[in-house]
Amino acid sequence: MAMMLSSIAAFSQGDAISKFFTKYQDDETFSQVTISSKMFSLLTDMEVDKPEDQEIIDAISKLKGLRILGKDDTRDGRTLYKEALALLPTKDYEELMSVRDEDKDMKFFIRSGATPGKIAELVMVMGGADDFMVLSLFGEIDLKKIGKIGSKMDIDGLNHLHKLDDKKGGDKDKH
Amino acid sequence: MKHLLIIALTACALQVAHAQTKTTELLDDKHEGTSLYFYKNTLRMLNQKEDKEFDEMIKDIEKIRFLMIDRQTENFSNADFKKLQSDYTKKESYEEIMNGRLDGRNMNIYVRESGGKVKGTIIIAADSSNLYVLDILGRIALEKASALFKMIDENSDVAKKLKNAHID
Repeated sequence: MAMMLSSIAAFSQGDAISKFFTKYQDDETFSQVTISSKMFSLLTDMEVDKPEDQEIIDAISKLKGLRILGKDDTRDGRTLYKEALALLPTKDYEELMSVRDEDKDMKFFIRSGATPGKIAELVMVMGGADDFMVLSLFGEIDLKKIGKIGSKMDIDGLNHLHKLDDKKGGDKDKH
Repeated sequence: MKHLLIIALTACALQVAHAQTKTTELLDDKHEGTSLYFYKNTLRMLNQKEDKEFDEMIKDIEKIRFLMIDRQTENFSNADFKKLQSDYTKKESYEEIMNGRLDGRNMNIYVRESGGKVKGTIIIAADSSNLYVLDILGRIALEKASALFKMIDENSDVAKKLKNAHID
């Protein structure tokens, strides 16, 4: 666990809800995944056939870290959702989108980077009747490609990022 | 001629011994458990259902050392687990690229690079009952790492495939 703590400390530059992660990372009823910038850089070695796939790889290469904390089969989904939202420093994060999907509520937040027009962090908080998840993706993020990045990496949790693509089509409820 | 054969076999054995990390070797020496070697061709043979994802996952793997240790009988404590993680990064110059926990099972992935290329990959999975170590010469296709994570985490398919193939 010391290794995990040191890893998380290393990966946590500027990420949103460190307090929340710190509080629950040792709780074994939570699932968690932490990915370093090294893994993202190694992913750029993927062989691609299509030019659009290369664009996704280029977008992945600019990511610096990913953390996911989640809990399934829990009655605390909505309580945890509220707790996570309360811990987000609203002065630093701008709400991008809210989605209600069946019994789940999701909110997406972004934090601007030093470079104008670039996003430094994307946070997704999801809470439902029986599950909860918070995701923090940081680095240099291209929102236009975020949904495809999620599907390319095939990691539970990232699949929700396609909602951001859906938004472009305007087919989701805004709350 | 017989001496030449013995020398050749010894050379091969030494090559095999050097192909895995010392940390894995020490772990294997210290604890009883399942310990298996798999080579590229053996791994291909495992894929009898011609699962393209599995093929993709193993395409850059030269060899795998697989260890499975019963933590209860071998008295493998959480402190031992922490030390194992630390040894890979501090004594073997591996770098952690991913860690996770699902349903009480922890998993870590480490890589060792040389000349900008991944030369070795270590995957550790542990729960309160067992410790699994995959010491890989080469690299797994990292975009498939989560699939491997799921395979180990949900039903230990990798372990079963490796074990069954060895028995067959």
